[in-house]
Amino acid sequence: MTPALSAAPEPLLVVEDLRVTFDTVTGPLRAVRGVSFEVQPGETLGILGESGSGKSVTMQAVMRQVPQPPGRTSAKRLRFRDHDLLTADRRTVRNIRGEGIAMIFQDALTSLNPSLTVGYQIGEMYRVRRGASRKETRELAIELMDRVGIPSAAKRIRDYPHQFSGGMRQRVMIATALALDPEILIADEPTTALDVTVQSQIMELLAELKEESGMAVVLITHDLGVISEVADRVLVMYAGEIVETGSMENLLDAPGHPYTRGLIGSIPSVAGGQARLLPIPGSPPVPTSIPAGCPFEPRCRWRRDRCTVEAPRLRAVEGFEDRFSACHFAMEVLDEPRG
Amino acid sequence: MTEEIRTGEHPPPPDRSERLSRWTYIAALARDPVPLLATVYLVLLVVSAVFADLVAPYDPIKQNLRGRLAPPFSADAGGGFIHLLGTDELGRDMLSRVIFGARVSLSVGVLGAVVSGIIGVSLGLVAGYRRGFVEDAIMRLVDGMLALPSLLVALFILFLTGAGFLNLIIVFTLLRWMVYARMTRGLTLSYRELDFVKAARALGNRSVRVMFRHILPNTLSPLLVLATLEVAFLILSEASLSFLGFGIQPPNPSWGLMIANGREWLQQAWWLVTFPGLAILLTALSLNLLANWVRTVTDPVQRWRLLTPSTKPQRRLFRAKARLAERGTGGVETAIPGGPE
Repeated sequence: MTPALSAAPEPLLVVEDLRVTFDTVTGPLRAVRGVSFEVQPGETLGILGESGSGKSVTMQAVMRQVPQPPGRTSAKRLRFRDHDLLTADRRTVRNIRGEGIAMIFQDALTSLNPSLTVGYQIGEMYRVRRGASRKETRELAIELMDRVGIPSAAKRIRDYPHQFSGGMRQRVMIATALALDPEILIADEPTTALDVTVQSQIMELLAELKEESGMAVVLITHDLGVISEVADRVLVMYAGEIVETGSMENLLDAPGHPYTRGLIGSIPSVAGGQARLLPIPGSPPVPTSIPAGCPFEPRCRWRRDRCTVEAPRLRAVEGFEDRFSACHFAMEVLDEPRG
Repeated sequence: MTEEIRTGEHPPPPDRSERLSRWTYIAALARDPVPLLATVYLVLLVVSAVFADLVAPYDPIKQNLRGRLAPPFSADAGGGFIHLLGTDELGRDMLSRVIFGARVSLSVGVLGAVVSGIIGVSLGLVAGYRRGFVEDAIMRLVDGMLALPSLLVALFILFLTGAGFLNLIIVFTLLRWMVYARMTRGLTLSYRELDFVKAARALGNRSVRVMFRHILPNTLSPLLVLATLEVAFLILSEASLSFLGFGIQPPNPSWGLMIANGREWLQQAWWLVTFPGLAILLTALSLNLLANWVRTVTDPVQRWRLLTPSTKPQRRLFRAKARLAERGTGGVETAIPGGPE
C-alpha cells in the first residue's frame, strides 16, 4: 500500500477467510480456500493467477454471484462498506451491484445482449435506478460512450453489439459498468480476448477512468504484463489461496514466493537479458484433491521435507512494508539472485 | 492510439442512424416476392374482414332459395351482382360468406394465439429462469395438460359452457399455452447461462427485469414464428370445432362451418367446400411464409441479409466466384491455399 493511502485506512471491501466450495460428483471442489484481502478506495488491486486458481470465483463470491447450490460460500468477514455481504438480503445485494461494485467480463461480445442496442444497455440501470427520463438516459449514454472513447457516440447508440469491433465492445461494456458511478470496478480478464495494441488502449482507458472518478479497480488477470502497468498492489493466487501479496514494484523486483518467481521468469522481456524463458514445470493440483502440504511443493525448486507435511501460512516478509508470502523459505527465495 | 481516435483525425463514420426506418423494411419486403405475396394476401384478407359490410356484395345470411347451389360466376336470379364464387345450399352468396367468415377465423386465430402466447411465454420464462420447484410445478402441469386429448377436452368444456366466440378463445388458451411454455423454457435455459445474463445480474438488475428485458428479446424470433404457426393451427381448430357444431353457430359464417355444411353437397356442388378450404389453406400458408421472413428481419444479427439491397447470399457468392474467375483461378475450390492436391 502506498503511504498516501494508509493515512485513510477505511477499506471499501473487506474479505476475511473466504472459502468457496462446489459440490461435484467426484467430491467437493474447493475453489477458494481461505482468502483474505482488502480493497482501499481509489487503489488498483491486481489479482494474478493462472486458470483455475480461484481468482474469478473469489470476486464472484464477493458479488454474491456464486450459484448456491452447487456452490457454498463462507467467510469470517465479507463486508462492503457497512454491508455484510454474507447476510445481506437480495435487495441490498442488488443495490450494491452496479452502484457499489460493478463488474466487466472477459468476452465483451458474449457479455453484451445481442438483441438490445448498446445505448439501451448502457443506460438501462441509470433509468431503472435513478428513474431518469428517456432523454436524460440517452444523454448519459452518449456521454458515457464519449468518455470511454467511442467515436460518434450519438450516432452509434442505436447500433447493436455485433456492429462493433472487439475493442469497441469492451469499451461499451466498461460504459455499462460506469453508468451508476461504482466505487469498485471489478475487471475480470478485460483484455484477454483482445489483441495487444487494443489491450493497451483498454488498460490506458481503465487507468484514465480511475483517475477521473477515483474508483477502486480490481483487475483479475493471468497476464503479468497487463497487471504490471497499472496495479498498485498485487495478490498472487495459486490453487485457491493467496500465495503472495505486496506492491507491484516489490513483487516484480524481488518475488518472495517460488510461484511468483516462476511467473516472472516465464514471460518474455522486450529488454532482453535472459536468453531462454523458464517455464514452471508440472501443472497445478487437481482442485478436488489438493495435497496436505504446500500446494506448490511438487513444482518447486526450493522444496524440502517440511513442505510436504506443513501447509505454509501467509506471513509477513521481513524488510518490506505490507508484504506477505506463503512460503516457508520466503527469505531464501527472495535472496537468491535471478537469471 | 487512444489519442488518435479522440482527436478526430479519422473521417467520421457515415451517418447510419436513420437507416432502419419503416421504409427500409417495406423496401426489403418489396424485393422478396414470396413474403410479399403472402403479405398482400393477408392484408387483403384483413382489410376485407374488417370492412366486410362494405366489401361483401351480399348479406352473408340472406337466403335465396330460388338461386340455390348456383355455380361460380353465375348471374344472380334477382338481377344483382354476379355470384363470383357461386351460392350455397340455401342460395347465400359464397363470396360474402367467405369474407364474413374471415372475421371469425382471423379473430379467433389471432386472439387465441396472443392470449395463450402471453400466458405460456411468461410461465415458460419463470420456469426456465427460476428452476427448482417452480420449474417442476409448471413443467409437470404442462406435461399433464399435453397428455389430455385436446379435442375431447375442448368439446367437453364447450358442451358445459356453451359454444361462442369468447368460450372458444378461453378453450384455445387453456389447451395451447403449454406449447409456448415448453419452447420458452427451453430457450430460457440456454440463455440464462450466457455471459450477458450474468452481466445483467452483476449490474444489479432484478430477476423480473432480467427475464423480460434481457432474455425475452432474444427468444422473440422463434416465439414469433411459433405464434404465427399457432394462428394457422387455431384457424384449423376453429374450423374443426365449428364443423362438429361446438364453435360458431349457424347461420353465422365461419370457414369451418361452411366446410361442414358443404360436405353433404360435395357431389353436386364442389365450390361449397373448395373455397372456404382454399381460404384456410392460403391463410395458413401465408402466415407460415411471412413468419419465416419476420423471424429473420427481427433478428438484429441476421436482418442485414434482407435489408441490404442486392446482398442476397447467393448473389454474393456468385460475385465472389466471378472475381476469382477474373483473377485466373478456376473457382472457389482451387482458391483455397494449402488444399488437397
